[in-house]
Amino acid sequence: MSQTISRQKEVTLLDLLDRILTKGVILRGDITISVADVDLIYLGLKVMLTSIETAERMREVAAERYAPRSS
Amino acid sequence: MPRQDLKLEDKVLGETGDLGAFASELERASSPLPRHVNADSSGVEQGLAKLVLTLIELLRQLLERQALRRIEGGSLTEDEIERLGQTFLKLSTRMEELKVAFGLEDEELNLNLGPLGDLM
Amino acid sequence: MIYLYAITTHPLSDGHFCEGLADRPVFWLSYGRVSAVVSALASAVQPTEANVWRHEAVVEALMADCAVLPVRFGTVFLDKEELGAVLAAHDGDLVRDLERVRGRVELGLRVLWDVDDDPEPPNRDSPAGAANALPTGRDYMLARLKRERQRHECHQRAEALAARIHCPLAHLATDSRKQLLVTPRLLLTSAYLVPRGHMAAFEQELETLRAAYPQLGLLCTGPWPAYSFVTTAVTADP
Repeated sequence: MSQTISRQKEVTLLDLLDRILTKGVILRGDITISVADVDLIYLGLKVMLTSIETAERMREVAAERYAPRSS
Repeated sequence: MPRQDLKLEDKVLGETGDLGAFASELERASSPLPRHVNADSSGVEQGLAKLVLTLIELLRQLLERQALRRIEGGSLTEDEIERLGQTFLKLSTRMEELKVAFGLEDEELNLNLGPLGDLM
Repeated sequence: MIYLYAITTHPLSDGHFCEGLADRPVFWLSYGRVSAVVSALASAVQPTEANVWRHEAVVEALMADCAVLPVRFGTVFLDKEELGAVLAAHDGDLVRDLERVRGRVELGLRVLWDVDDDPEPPNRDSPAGAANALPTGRDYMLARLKRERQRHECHQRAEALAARIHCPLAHLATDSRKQLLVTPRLLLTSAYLVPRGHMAAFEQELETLRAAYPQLGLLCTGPWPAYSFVTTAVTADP
């Protein structure tokens, strides 16, 4: 019985992942570029190879803007 | 405030039977496109190799299919068929070597190309 | 950074709606004809099981009360202005999509069948019988030709059988999507946009089909937000 429930959960999760990771409203490109394990915004496949600089810049901007403050 | 106790996982309708079989097929089916390409050092080569090899594999299969159509249509000489076959055989062997070299399985190269995917 | 969960026509509440990723409060930002369901985030999130369920929980909490367009997981923007600009660019599509899904849910279907002859992966080809001799080019092409014909026949059988399952269900839906043979064993993968009122009839038809085709496995999941019926998609950043 419990095997059925966990199988159901597994299958439901797989089904959800298929939807939530590849479908829905897509306002960003396809691949997450990670620089030093810090995930940044998704970037389009065709710009993937040239966008590492952009990713670096974004990371700097984000770090600046969201630097931890004391309160 | 929305109910936080929603049984989100309660999504299977009716009696399905062998869920295990579905689970393994769903895993096979999930997009093998590397969703997380590590842009620092070693990870890049692996991720790029996958992409490049998949594209080469796609081209190879498209070309093979094109050749097969021409064979069926009877527009190729025996000599041409022989030469094409030898070339494709070499390409096929070379692809296998590249896959082994990069440690990639057949299934990892099944890029989900949407409508183009039907050509694979 | 701003994390986007979903799009609705207007806000459902003024203040916080619920808790989203990293337990941050979820709220609305309105831009012209649409409203964005968002929360603030310090850094982008990984698609872990917990995060994915939390995102889904937010979207499904909305589903009960209004038309919702689910947004793909991991969609973040630097700030409100960037979000506003992107939404403005797709305003028309979003409004149309919202009307298309209003009052409807998505039901997903996967059908398993037993494939007798699994087609061998392309590069395992070896001409029948030529165990020791090097295959000639001609042998290779003939073997490939044979495999292609088998694959084609299999595909035709699949199409015919899949239609027997898909059509009666599509009949009960406003719209549907289908794909054959995503894997050799997955005969059919499909999604149906079903008005809430038709769900019971749909489930009944499903049972009828299960009884009629005991050799097939039918997995139906849902109700989901209309992930598969959203047409707004950009493939590269503007």
